[in-house]
Amino acid sequence: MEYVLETNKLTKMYKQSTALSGLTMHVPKGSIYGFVGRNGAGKTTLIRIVCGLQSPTSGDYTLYGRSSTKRSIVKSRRRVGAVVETPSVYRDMTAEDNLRQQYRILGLPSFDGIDEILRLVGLGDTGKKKARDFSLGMRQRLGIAVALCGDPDLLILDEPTNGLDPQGIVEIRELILRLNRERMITVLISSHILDELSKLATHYGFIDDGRIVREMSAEELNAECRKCARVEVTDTKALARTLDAMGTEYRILSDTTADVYAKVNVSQLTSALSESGCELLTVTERDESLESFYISLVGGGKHE
Amino acid sequence: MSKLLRAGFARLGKTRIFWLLTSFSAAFALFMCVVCYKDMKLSGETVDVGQLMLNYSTVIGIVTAVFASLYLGAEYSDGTVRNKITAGHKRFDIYVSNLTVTTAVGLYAYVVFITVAAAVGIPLLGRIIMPLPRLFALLGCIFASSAAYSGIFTFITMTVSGRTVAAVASLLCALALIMAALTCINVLGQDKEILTGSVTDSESGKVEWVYAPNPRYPSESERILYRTLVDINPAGQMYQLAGREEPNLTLLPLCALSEFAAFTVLGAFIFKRKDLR
Repeated sequence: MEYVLETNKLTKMYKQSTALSGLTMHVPKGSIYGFVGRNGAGKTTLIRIVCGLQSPTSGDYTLYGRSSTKRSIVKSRRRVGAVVETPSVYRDMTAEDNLRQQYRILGLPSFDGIDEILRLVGLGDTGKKKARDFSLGMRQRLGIAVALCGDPDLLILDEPTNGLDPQGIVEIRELILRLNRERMITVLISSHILDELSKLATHYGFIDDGRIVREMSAEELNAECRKCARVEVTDTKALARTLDAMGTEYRILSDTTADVYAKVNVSQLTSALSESGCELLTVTERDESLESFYISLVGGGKHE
Repeated sequence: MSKLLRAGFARLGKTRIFWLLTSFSAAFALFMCVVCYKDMKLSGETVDVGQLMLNYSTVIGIVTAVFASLYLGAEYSDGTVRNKITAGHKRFDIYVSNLTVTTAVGLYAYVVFITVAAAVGIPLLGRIIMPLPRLFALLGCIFASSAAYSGIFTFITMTVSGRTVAAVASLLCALALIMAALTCINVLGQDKEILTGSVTDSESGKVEWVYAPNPRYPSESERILYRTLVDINPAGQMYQLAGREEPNLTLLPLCALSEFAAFTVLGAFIFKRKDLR
């Protein structure tokens, strides 16, 4: 798999605290990478480091094949658009002026494409309205529009739906999906709301206390959170043979436990298993939500 | 760097602080012309428009402090400095481009003042009396000191995150420099002896004035110290150039440009290592 961003044991320490402690993550090309963690887990710190706003205390990262330890990393950064925490826009300028300003900063030869970007983010008709008079959702979309100047290959969005109303959240989500599908932009999006991310992410990185606790694809997450029956038997090999014969989907977890992705008829299964000399010990219904999966990953105690 | 400069100058026209600064410079020139005209009418003395053109130098420090902290401070408060870094610009380039814009605006403000002072002052008050080469030399030194102010206030704004903190710190710094300069100039202007009384000869009626050493008169080493403090302080340089003292037209620009360079190197060094939010 080709990765646009790989971090290698990134550590960031401030005077009294450690924000990142040996964080290693991989963002696949073309993905929407959901970067999930509670507030203060280190999401924004990582984004600041990748954007060049802060330097890591130790460790490094590779962006489009260039190591952060090399000076040429600035060339890779030119392929990145980012909205870190709050939208970075001049409040005393209109949406168009903000984009023109970013075009100048990027050194683009003409202002062609500004109208298209504004239309794409739904700000095509804001006219002479200054950014300071925009709603939070409009400012967020303007921030994304600024980040889109120069056709970035990687878009980094730090909690883009924070503070937005439901309508605004839907708009941002649809915009991100469109950018990923139509423009093939890889998106790294951080959030502490897994349910929101689950509607668009193709890959996930779960962060806790400054380190990645697990990286997985959306398919893997869906499988983890699928409704199933966890069965405990004396021999999972016999169970596998029986379930194969019944045409039922399952996943073996250990020598004695497995998840069965179908409604289990306990008496039928017990009798089928006994023919193979296997005993059914327990059956537990499992219906793990995204949130409970996340809590189980990062540990709920410290969040109380 | 050229991209950042182009963006920085293009942004000027869109900001209120730039137009406020332009209006203030023009209005201050008009105000000075009117005040001088009234004085001329009352006292009958001739006013040198050339001297009038030097007067803005005592105010330009505060003007630069306000501009730098609000214009550059917006990069932090609006978060737009992040766009420049994410776009792949080096921090040194960002610092130097911001310094260049601030310095250019400081000079621009002074040019606006001179232009209005000349356009209104010459018809109203008369001609420029001082020799033009001297006027240009003084204005050149003022521009150098104005650049020193820009160096200091860009340093403060770029190393202190936060527009409000930068604005307060810059203004306090500008006022402190002015107060320090006035205090030093006042000490240096002390007479060596002061009049303590008089003795009148009762026969001849002749009055003899009695002088005593001035306790506030600084010693030779103190004079060197205060003189150095005035010379290295941009506000002190400006007061000298505005006519409070006879300025050293070689030393003062040298001091000003050295300060400009020193603050730039230090500021760029700190900004390069600064954790931005």
